[in-house]
Amino acid sequence: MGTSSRRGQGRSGPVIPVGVVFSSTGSYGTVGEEMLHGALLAIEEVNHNLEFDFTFAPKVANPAGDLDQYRLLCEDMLRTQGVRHVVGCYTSSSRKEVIPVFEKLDALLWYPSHYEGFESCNNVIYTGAAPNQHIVPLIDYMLRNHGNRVYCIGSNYIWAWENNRIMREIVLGCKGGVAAEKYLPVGSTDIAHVIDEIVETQPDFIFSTLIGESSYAFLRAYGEAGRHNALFHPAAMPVTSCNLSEPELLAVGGQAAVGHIASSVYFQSMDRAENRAFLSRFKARFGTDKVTSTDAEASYIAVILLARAIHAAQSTEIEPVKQAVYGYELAAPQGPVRIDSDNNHSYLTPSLGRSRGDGEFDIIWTADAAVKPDPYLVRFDIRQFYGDLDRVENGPIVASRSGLRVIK
Amino acid sequence: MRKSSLPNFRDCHALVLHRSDSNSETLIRQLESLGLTVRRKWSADDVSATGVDVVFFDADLGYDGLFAWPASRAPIPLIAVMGSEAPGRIEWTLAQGPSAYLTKPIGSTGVFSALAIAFRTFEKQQQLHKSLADLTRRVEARPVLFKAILVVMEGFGVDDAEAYQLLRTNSMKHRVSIEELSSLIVGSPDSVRETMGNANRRILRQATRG
Repeated sequence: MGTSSRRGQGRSGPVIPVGVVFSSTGSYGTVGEEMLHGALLAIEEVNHNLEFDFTFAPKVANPAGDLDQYRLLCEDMLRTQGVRHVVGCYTSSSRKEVIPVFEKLDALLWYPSHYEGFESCNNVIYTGAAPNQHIVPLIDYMLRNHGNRVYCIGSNYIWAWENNRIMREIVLGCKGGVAAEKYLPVGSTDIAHVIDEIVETQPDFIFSTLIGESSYAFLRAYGEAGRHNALFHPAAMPVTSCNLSEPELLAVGGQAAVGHIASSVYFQSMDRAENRAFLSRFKARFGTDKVTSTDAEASYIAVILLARAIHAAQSTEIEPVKQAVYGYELAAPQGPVRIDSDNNHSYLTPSLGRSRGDGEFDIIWTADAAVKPDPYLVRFDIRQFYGDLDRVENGPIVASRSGLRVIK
Repeated sequence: MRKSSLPNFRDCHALVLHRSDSNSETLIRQLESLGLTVRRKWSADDVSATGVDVVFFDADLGYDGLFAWPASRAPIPLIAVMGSEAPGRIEWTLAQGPSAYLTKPIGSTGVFSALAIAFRTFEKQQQLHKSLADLTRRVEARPVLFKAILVVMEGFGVDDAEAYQLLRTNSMKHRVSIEELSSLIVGSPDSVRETMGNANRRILRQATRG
């Protein structure tokens, strides 16, 4: 590792190649592009920061949503381009596809997305939220404030299945009910029958794990139904989600995007100096029409943590880098973030936001402190969770559509 | 409280019978991240299940005498950690009656599902063994039941169907199995009427004496 660079001249010191693998085109290209932007912004910051005695050379690759491409592109980077660290992947299927490559070639994947959990790989650093940081706080809030009968609607793949399983187990464990659990093929916008079933089953709230176009179509149909049915109003029957973010509110547009409840560790509206700086740099770099989101922030965090760890370890080898990152706390746009050496996931601060007409979220709840990640929900205890609900201010009463009732 | 449909392994105790290497390190790390308390031991003889909920054992180096229990009679779920595919090793491994398998090298996936499979398979096998033992006992008692029917037919002057019905009714009344009542009757055929009336008390007395 070289010594620090001299001011006023071009950066000296080693140039470290870093893989950046996101699908900025393809079926989830909108999110992929945000994540790419978050990572590139961080790389540029690292390269301009004289604290670092090295620079990053981004090796950007776009698998365009093709699983085979993820594996081939990563393998090529690791084998022929001297890459030891890759920031990348959004979907769980793409992560599962590349993990064997990282294990075989002893490299590190910095995975910057919230996901359904139940994984802990030695060759992955997870900077997005684990289930105890996204769905559990959402369920807690809804059971306390809106009722205990939920209608689950999702896109037919693992993100929806696992989240709905967690939702079902917790809600039933708290003496609530699941009105129905419905799945649409990924990309489907065939929503009419879902609206009919919601009218029929009259749930207290809706939990949506729909993604992309299906999600937008559902929110628009919900808005449309609200013109002649008072049930379809966020005050009566809110839509909740762990994957609704700022760019998607823009995609839905209009009144249909307003009033929904999202669980996330990052919202663009967070009033912190670190976030204001992040946001202004993001817009200055990629355009004032661009918005940040939790996945963009997690990608940004991943790169900064990587740089800090390499700097502290004075090595790019993965073991020293991992040991170094465990000891570092980053003042991220969302708040303090650090990696848990128990499972390579991140301490993050869960928040809940209610969507506004301008495409942002009002933050309606934030955890007191960063929460230890629990990817396997090992420390989650349904009895304790239910017991804590019992201790809400006015006694164990939950408002349900069937009237106020005591849950015992 | 509804039982969770997926097992949670928090507070379970795992024993890893494997030498210290990268495989056992990865395994232990995964188990600890799942909330288990883990102990590793190698080599080991006559390993008992006391204080242990699940055992992972090295199928490559395992040997007779590793466990305190007879082959295939493990009182807790066993998970084989397999590397070699030599037929002799597979044969020895199968003889231990493992409830699940992991293959080496142990990676980031497989440990959670192996645990889930092992506990479910073990539970099902225990249930099967229990009902099999019960059925076997009943089949073995058939000659006694047959003799008892003959005694009741003679003692009460009834046909075979009525005799069986009498045995059934009285065994239910006294909350003993029909086979137990039958063996009491066959033991003292002369006092069949008394036995039918007092089966419960006599069995209780026998149990107290035993």
